Amino acid sequence: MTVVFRVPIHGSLPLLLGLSIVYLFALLALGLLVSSRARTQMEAIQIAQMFLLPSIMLSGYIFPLSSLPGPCAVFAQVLPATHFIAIVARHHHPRRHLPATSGTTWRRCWRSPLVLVAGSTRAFQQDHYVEKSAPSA
Amino acid sequence: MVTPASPVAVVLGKLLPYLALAFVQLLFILFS
Repeated sequence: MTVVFRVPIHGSLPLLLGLSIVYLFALLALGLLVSSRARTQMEAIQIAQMFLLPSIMLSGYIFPLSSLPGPCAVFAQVLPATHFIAIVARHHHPRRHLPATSGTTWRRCWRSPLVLVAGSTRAFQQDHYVEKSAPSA
Repeated sequence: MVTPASPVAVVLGKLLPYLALAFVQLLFILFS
């Protein structure tokens, strides 16, 4: 099956779209976590940059994960892009595509977004958020 | 918190509308 750019997709398209929702949720949760921790907009932009470049360099998009040194490989597992690139790569493989009924796939995918949402919720619970949003005297 | 909503509701209330928008954008990119 081909959808766009005539690139064949060998895995399940509904599964790919469903996992895309999880990836988008993880990215949005990461953005919310960053912006809830930062005190100013500029600080939030700079913290977001700290995730943007590693998402390109360390996620397996340019360099293979197996060539990364130890700490970088550990940090790469934190990035949502690492897992999504692996998912998309397997969807395009003629024989190694993900089984649509694999519960392990779904459980692994939900771990990262849930941790990020929990971090954002914790930031909102702390006084830090109230102090930040209160007008200064 | 300065709102009667729970922190989880605040976080999900911020995330879910943007998630819907992002997914619609993804569908546009894939199928248009």
